[in-house]
Amino acid sequence: MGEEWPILKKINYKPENGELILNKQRLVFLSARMLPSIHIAILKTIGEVANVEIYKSCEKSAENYYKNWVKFLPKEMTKKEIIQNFLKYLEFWGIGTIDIISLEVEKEIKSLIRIYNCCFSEYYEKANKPVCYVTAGMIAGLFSAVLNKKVSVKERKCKAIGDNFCEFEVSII
Amino acid sequence: MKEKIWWPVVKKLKYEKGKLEFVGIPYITMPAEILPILNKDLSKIVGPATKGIIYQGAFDQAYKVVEKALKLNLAAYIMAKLGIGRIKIAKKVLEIVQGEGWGRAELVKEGKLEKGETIIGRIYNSFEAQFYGKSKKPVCAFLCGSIAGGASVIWGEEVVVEEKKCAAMGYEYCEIEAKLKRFF
Repeated sequence: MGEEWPILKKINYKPENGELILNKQRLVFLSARMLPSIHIAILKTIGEVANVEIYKSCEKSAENYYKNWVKFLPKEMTKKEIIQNFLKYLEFWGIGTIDIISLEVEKEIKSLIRIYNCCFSEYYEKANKPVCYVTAGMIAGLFSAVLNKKVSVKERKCKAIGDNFCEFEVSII
Repeated sequence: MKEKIWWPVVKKLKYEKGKLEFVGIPYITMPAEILPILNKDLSKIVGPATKGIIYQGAFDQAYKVVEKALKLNLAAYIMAKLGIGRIKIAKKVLEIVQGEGWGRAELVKEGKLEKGETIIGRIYNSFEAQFYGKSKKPVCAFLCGSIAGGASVIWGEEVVVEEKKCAAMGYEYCEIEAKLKRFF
């Protein structure tokens, strides 16, 4: 662990408010285990419907966040460039190493995103199916905000079930 | 001022290939609205238990982070174990909370928890209250759980934190009260 954090100098810390601002929007730091621990506890309480709820909440908040961000981007950026840029930021935020296998924004062809060393998957013990609903929801919100279309994200491979990486398939609905 | 509070966080952050760590614990940077919206949405389905789930999750994670951070600072760790300067250590931990972007924290009433007294703190600009929206009840379960977890390491036994006022209810700030569980 030794690189300079790529967004360190872009984050504006406002001590008078206790705020971290990046691209005019508020961010927080938290333990990567926090969201999985809530997800696991909710799964125990309400069963598998928790997966849908976690996905929907993360999709909604991410879509809102990215829509506000898009407003400040140069008009000449293409949708593809914006998505690539946002996915790179997800990596900088600590989600894991992102590899864009395919990215399609105009046609109804699926995009494929891989995340190596996903920060969430290691906390789910004894998983027998993909677990990264937080990441899937965030990716869905990201694509929806840029494309202005509803998208669906399914996790096809997951480190929690023994795959080498987590892989997300993005479909425009 | 900016460097003083920001630096303890940045100094202990490490980044490599999409992996972010704080005091050796995997961390993530997220849009501030994700957790409050999750809290609000889940409350509609799970009910009041959501608050307890988020509080406990935050408690457990903060406990691990503060325990690790204290062990990296041997003098502070020994002082906490011996019961010396706990308030001073708690203030340092609150500076880190502030540097993590959760809001501006201050203590308004100091007390000896081990003698059954309470400590009262205020959080201005809580990210949970800001993004939750209006509420009739306090909403900052994550902040309360995190502060309780961190304080429990410092005091060496379980500390309970209750939110008495919340910006989501219309107050200017969120006000929290901490006491040892055995006096609760």
